[in-house]
Amino acid sequence: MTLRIAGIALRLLAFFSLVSYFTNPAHAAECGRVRIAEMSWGSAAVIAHVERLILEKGYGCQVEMVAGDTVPTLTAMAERGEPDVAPELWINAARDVIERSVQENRIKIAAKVLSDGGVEGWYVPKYMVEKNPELTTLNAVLKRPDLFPDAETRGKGRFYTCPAGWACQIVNDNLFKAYGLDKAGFVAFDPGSGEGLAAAIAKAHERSEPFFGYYFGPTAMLGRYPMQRLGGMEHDPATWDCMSKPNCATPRPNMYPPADVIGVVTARFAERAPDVFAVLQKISWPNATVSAILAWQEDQRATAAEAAEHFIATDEAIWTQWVPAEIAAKVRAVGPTWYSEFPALDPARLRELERAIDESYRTFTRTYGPSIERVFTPLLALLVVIEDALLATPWWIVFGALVALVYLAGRALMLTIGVAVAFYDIGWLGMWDDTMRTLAIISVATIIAIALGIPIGVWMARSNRAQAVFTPLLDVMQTLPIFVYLIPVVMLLGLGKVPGLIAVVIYAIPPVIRLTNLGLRLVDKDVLEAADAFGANWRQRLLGVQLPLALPNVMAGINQTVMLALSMVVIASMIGVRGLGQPVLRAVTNQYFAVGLFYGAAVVALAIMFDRTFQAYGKRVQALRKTVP
Amino acid sequence: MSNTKIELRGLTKVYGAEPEMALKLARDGLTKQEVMDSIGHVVALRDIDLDIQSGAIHIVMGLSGSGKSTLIRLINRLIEPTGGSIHLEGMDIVKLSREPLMELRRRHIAMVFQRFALFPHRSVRDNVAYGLEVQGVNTEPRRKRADEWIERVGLTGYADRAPSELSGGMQQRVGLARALCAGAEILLMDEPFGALDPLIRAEMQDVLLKLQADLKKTILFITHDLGEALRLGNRVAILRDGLLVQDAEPEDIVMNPADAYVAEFVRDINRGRVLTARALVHAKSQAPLLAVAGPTIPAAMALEDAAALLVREGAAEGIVVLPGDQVLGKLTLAEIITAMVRPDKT
Repeated sequence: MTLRIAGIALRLLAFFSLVSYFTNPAHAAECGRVRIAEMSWGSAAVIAHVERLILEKGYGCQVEMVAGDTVPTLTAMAERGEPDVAPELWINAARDVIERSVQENRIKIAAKVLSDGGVEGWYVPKYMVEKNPELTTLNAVLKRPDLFPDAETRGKGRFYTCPAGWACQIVNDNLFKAYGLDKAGFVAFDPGSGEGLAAAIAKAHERSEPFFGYYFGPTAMLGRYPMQRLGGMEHDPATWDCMSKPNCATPRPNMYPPADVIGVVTARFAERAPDVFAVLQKISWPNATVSAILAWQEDQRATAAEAAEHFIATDEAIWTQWVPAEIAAKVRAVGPTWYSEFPALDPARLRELERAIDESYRTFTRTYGPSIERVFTPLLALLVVIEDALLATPWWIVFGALVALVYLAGRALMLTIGVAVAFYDIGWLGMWDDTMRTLAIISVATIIAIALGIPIGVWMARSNRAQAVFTPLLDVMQTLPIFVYLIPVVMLLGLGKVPGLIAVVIYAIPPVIRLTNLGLRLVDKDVLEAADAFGANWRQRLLGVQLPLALPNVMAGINQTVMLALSMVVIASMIGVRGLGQPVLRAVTNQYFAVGLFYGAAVVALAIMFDRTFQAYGKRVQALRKTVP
Repeated sequence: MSNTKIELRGLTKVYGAEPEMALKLARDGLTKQEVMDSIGHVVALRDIDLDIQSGAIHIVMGLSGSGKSTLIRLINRLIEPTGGSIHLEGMDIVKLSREPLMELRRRHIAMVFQRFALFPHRSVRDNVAYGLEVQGVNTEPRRKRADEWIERVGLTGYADRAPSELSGGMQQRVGLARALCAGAEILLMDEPFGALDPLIRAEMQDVLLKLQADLKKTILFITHDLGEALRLGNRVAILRDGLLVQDAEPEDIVMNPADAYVAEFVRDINRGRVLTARALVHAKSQAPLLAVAGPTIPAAMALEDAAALLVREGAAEGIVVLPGDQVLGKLTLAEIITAMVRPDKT
């Protein structure tokens, strides 16, 4: 009896839930879960969130945002059918993959999302043109490499190309050859990341410093900073195909065409949710609108999601054309959110605060940036000299010197042989130059870390007050996300070796400080008393007794410092530090598995070499001293 | 003989922020523990007056916490005194500024430590040469002198070893050589043989006595061990809770303890072995006799040996003589035996 009642109840329940499912249009059967790729650049991120709002509110989809970049996202969509939607792709960046995937019916083009198309080109700031009116064409710029000096390559001009992983880096490389920038006295500088490139432009404008490089629009940067797109470079469809290939045999003068910027979906999604696909086919907005939104976003320090909400709220004229009226009504309905939100500072006040902080930092970089940069000039010179020396010396001399150094430090035969084999393999796999660059910056970073770290550690061991001050500082240095200080450092010092070095040192110095302090504090008090009793002054006591006895700990600290410095190589490459990190970064963004593996292995080989050599050296130094009674 | 090398006057050490207050409480009669309980200060040493003779071994004894280690470290100012003076040949060490103090430690006062405190990262030779190194002596003469001292303390052949390869006794020989090599005329020895087992300790005492016979250093020697104190000491100072309770010749300490604390200290000593005939004669303070008969007892002979001598000779009394046959006095067997018995048993 009870069983039968239960059965009826179950059936009723199933019926009602079915009814509610079909009567609620929010659960339109064809939508369900949708994954939207949120690209790393501004306009794409905003349109992604606009699409999210429309799909969520208008069609009741459960939207998941997936971070993406052109090539990886396209590959994933074609190969695995995920994510479902890529709202903004620049065709020039991946023409082959897009065309092939469309032909194979893996993805479908939804719409030209930027109705005017995107703009790519080579730019110089307007203030440079005002000073040198002829600088509106590439030819004029090429005559004046001296106006765009590269601090890291003496006597050369710097051309900021695209960061590793962006398809435009290939095009730029070919254009670089075609227009003979090399002969004109320029070097191509990889800014490491989109953020790095933007920071370089911002830094140049804040201080009216020279800049010559690639950029694209619509972006907040082009909206904010007036830049001159260089003339004298024409698009030529006949040779363009070759120009976008990595190994173009005959690069010819050319220029980016107005870029087709499209939204795509996977074929599977277009079938599954034809209604939604129909809407996505209409989503298209003009550059002026995009620029305005991006400018608003930057001005307000807003997220892409907030910018999208702002667009929905203020630009109905545009987006209501994309959706049917009843859907538009749903999208428009924004419920009160006060009950679910944290009682945060009033957004306007918060923005004021953020703007004030940003503005004061900008003022600071404008005022003191150049002199601070000058302070670091000798450091840069040292780095450049070491790197040049390592690169210019015939490989077998460097190779021999390294192996000899390892042997002299450790007197360990197996280790020496291992290092020799590892370095031979590195050279054989074509990674010699990058390894030398990394070796140069790691060596200098380690020397600086030791030169600063040991005295600070000594100071901390001598004074409890110094320890109380430095310990939290070290905690901050070790836990603060690197990017938090990376971009401000770039704003202050520009892209390249010096800010990279500073970031590496900040990240890597704590262990040597901590372990020097610890080691000194752990030295047997009786032994120190003996040194005092015999009248040792503080220097004799420190150098003759305390430091030698703390050496095992100090060595462990140095060792960890080197390891941390090496682990920073990849991150430092995001702000334009050349070396083993850049290929790894390129491998990550382009999914070059083998490249990543080789260069990663080279970093590991360097790490093991440093580690074992230091350890062997440490053991040898302490050979006299066996177990302490 | 009254040739004072170091003169301590009113030497005081208080640990705490307000030493004056702690001292006042202590002078008003509060014990060390009571001062500690009331204001949290430690009165480690209070109003010590002590004369240390040149060329003598002056023992400092006392229980743990009585202030021995503090006293020895005040003299080379490893611990800064709170008050009082330390005169070394007319110069007040307490008033020295940093540089002269270092110079004093380098050239005039060396130290030997209970737990050796050798430098584990240096060879035996470099340990021994440390004082010279700090003085700025060049490598060659430094090594030469270190090797001489290594030989004198009986460590020939160990110069290139690490301290950790040596036994405890050998390590303290290194400690001793290190102190002597610096050339200081004053040695501060902080329970130097306390960490060694009894046989090695006796051996080290012999080493020290043999060296001291030649060197005539002024030595301040801390020990827990009364036997050691009586064996080595020319004079013994006893500390209790930071106060000096007695400073006397070793045999005086045994024969005439200043108070119950000292008496307790000397209670279990083998009096027959540590007391000499001379001490007993002195204690009797009798006038030297002219007409004497019986076997002669050397003044330095221990009482138990003197008793055995009289018994063997079948005599009831003997004549105590100094080297050179100068007569010191007369002792009866009964006197000797009485002196050998613990005071509380008589």
